[in-house]
Amino acid sequence: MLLKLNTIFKWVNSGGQRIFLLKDIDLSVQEGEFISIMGPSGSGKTTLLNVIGMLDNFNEGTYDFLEESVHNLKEKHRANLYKQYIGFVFQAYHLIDELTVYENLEMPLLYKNYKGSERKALVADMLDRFNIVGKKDLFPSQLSGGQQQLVGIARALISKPKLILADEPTGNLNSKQGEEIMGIFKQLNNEGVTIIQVTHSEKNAEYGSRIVNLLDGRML
Amino acid sequence: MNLIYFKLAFRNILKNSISSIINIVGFSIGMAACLFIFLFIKNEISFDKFHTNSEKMYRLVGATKSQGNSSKSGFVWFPIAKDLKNEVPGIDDYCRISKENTVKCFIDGQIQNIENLRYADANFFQFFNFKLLTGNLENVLNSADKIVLTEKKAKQFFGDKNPLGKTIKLNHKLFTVSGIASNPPSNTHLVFDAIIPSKYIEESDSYYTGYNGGMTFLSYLELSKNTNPQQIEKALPAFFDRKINQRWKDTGMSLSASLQNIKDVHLSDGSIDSDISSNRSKKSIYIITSICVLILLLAIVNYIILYTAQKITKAKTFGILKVFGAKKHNLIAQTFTEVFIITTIASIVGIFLLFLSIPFLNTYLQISLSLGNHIFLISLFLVLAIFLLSISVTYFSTRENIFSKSTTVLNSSFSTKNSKTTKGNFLISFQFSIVIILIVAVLIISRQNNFILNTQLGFDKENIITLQANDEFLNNELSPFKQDLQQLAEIHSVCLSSQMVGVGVTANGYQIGDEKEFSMLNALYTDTDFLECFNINLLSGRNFKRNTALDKDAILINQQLVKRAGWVDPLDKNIYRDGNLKVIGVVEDFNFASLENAIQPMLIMANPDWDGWGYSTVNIRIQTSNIQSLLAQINQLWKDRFPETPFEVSFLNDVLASNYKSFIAQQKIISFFSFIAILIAVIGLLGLTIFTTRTRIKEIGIRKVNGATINDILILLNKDFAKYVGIAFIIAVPISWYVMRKWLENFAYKTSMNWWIFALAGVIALGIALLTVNWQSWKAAVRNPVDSLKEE
Repeated sequence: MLLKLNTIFKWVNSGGQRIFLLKDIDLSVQEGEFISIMGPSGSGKTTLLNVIGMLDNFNEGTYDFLEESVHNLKEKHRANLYKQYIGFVFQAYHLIDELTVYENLEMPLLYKNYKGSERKALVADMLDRFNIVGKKDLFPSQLSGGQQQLVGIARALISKPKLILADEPTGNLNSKQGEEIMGIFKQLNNEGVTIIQVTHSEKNAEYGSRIVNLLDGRML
Repeated sequence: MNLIYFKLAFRNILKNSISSIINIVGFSIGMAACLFIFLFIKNEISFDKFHTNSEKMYRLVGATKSQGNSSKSGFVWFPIAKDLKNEVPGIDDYCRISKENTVKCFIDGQIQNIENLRYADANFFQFFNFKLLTGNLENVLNSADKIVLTEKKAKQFFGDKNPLGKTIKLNHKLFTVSGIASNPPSNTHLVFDAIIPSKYIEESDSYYTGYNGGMTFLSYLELSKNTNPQQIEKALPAFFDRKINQRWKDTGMSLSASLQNIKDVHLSDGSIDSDISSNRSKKSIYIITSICVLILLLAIVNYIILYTAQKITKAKTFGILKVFGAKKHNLIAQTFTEVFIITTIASIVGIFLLFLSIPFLNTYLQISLSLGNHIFLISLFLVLAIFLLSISVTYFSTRENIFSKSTTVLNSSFSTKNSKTTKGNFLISFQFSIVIILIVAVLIISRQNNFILNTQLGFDKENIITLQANDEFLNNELSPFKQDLQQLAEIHSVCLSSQMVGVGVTANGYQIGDEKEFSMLNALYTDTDFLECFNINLLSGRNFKRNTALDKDAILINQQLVKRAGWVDPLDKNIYRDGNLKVIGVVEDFNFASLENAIQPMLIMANPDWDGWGYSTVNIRIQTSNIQSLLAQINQLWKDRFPETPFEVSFLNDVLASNYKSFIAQQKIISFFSFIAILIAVIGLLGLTIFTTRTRIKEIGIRKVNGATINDILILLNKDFAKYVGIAFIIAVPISWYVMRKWLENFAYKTSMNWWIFALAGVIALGIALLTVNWQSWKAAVRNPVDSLKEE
């Protein structure tokens, strides 16, 4: 068992009313799964993903990640946990504009205190694997959207996470680029990486092994 | 690990070039200003510390009390130091030095100038730590015909020849060069170009060497090891009683004195009325210091304002860094690195700026600072400043809740609507308040300058040439020369006087009417043509008779003296000093001294012999435009009559303006620094508007799509800034009113603080705000909304 959410509730108070973002979510994820979260706008997909990624808190329920009770952890420990095990891929790529492709890939390793030689090897691996060796000295603004998302995935993978969380990873891409990216996810999953993606597209959802449907913060 | 900090910081600085340039300009000027002030103050407080025994060296400060008015003077009576040493225990040694005066002398038949000639006691070079390069310490000043020159003067007068034994003719007497002193350092109040033994004065009969007047000597005491100045001061009342106060018992006049350490002489607190002119008031140092600190503060505020304005983009980067493993201290280190790089660049630029501006600052402040002598200190200052500045700026910028929010920034739902914060508003208003205060200050200072230069002095200072002789003459000696001048058609009128009008005249003790007590009254000795020459109004009575021998005891008095005496009809009243003087007329008040002083009671005599004075100034009212040829004629006439006596010709206007030279220089410096401060505040605001408009581009687009006109948009963008200026105005007016009123209290003649000065300052600040804002907003407002919306 990689992670387990148990009766998770999340709400915000607005104008004296309590608005539920997540209601009674139970979700277990085994290692090696490829899950697609689907649902209309505002159904709580991204919120759920952020809760799983520990970027967002929840108000009620329990969350166990690799035998650790996330709900009991202090902010700092929680941050250490997600930094160690989770890689993030965003719809808007979120590369750092001031850093080159190489430096963007190297950045997470720096904060995890990898040695220089290790960093070099890992970044070279990634560049090789995603076929972007020739682009390593370019800045994000010099790449196409698909290429940027490739770098984004490479960056998420570089510190060998157990879980990848992808928030509409193909949302800003054309269909051909989208297919490429989904292919890569599929391949990663085959290699044993657990993936949870949020998507609007039925077609992309097909790549996953399981689909979770959300409506108004509730699992269907 | 560290490399990423630098890479990110550098590229960020390059990318945000506008804010980087604003910050670097602000910090570099702030750094330069603070470094300058640091060196300046260090120099100011180092004055006269180089004397080995400076802890024990004290200057006597004299005080004269008459009729309840007391005035303090840094110059005291000639005999006091010597008498104190003989009569009061605890004094090891003393040294007396006269006021500095500029004289002309003959060297090898050539007329030369000695700017700072002083008479000093024979132990001058033993008492103080001024170096004697050649000559014998023991006897270099031991007889009245010796003179010691500084290296500079010796070189100027004698070139490469050995000056020892050469003679200099001064006051019709020959002096022999007995020694060469090294040039006095810049950090002493005792500047000199040449020293003549005070013995010369003791032997000459034209100097007054008693207690009854003649406060012209700086007197220094060296106290014994176990004596403190209070012990000496305790003995002074009895001492003065013995010397003179007992005799003066019924006159209402008395003398007293206090001790002042030699290191405290240069920086005065303004309590001494007559003192060495190069001394600086602490007040002006406080003002300049606070403006420099203000400049640095404004630069810091700029940084924080700009940092806050870029919060959104910063937060995104920080959010990414955080998601991929950066901890809070990494983010702080990131911010620190950026500030550090900017301040380091700024300090290099700042040093360069200071290097360029130091000659200018030296001239205006009349100092001689050089960066070269303080390289170690400067480096230390800069290293400290860079670190302190970086730490404080990092601290204040990162207090903004930027880190905890940062991960939510990555959600697409994050909105920019909360980008305005109270802190930001407060800082902008702060910035504007400073701008308004400084504008008010600059306006009032320049008005006061104009006021002083253009005030009616009560006499006509235009078209007057003064001829200052290096000697005193009796009436009959100078009148032939006066008659020579009167022959010239270009000359309207000529009068002789004891001192130059407008720069202050001597004061003596007189008994007014039946009063028993003596009062100090200013006295000018001149002649019948005085009133005509200076266009001074005679209010009642008559002028002196043409033959002044018939008016030997006649005096004209000014309105102040009438008021002081309380006379209804002042004509024929008496004033007593060494015989009765009779009032024959009253003249309108005129400013015979600088405008820093109010007009004092004064009397005018046509008979200088009465008090042992003579004429030394010839005042000439001219009526020609061909001044060069007239000056040549005057020159020739003087040389024909007095080939042995050097003289100096100047325009009264220039002489009077030089009264205010140091005042005007100080005001210029204050205005200069104020302008820089205003400039820094303004570029900060400019940067801010650039960023706020940028973050609101989307909002502007949406509003335009929904029907807003360009006008609506401009109003929207300007409204906030108008509000900030309004708040700033409310804060700034009382502060600037209070500060400037305090400043104006320094002057006897002051300009008024009209309401429109404050209004004008407010309008200028508003103008600055609207200009900077609209320059940016206009571009945003006229943009096609499709473009701005597409970008998001």
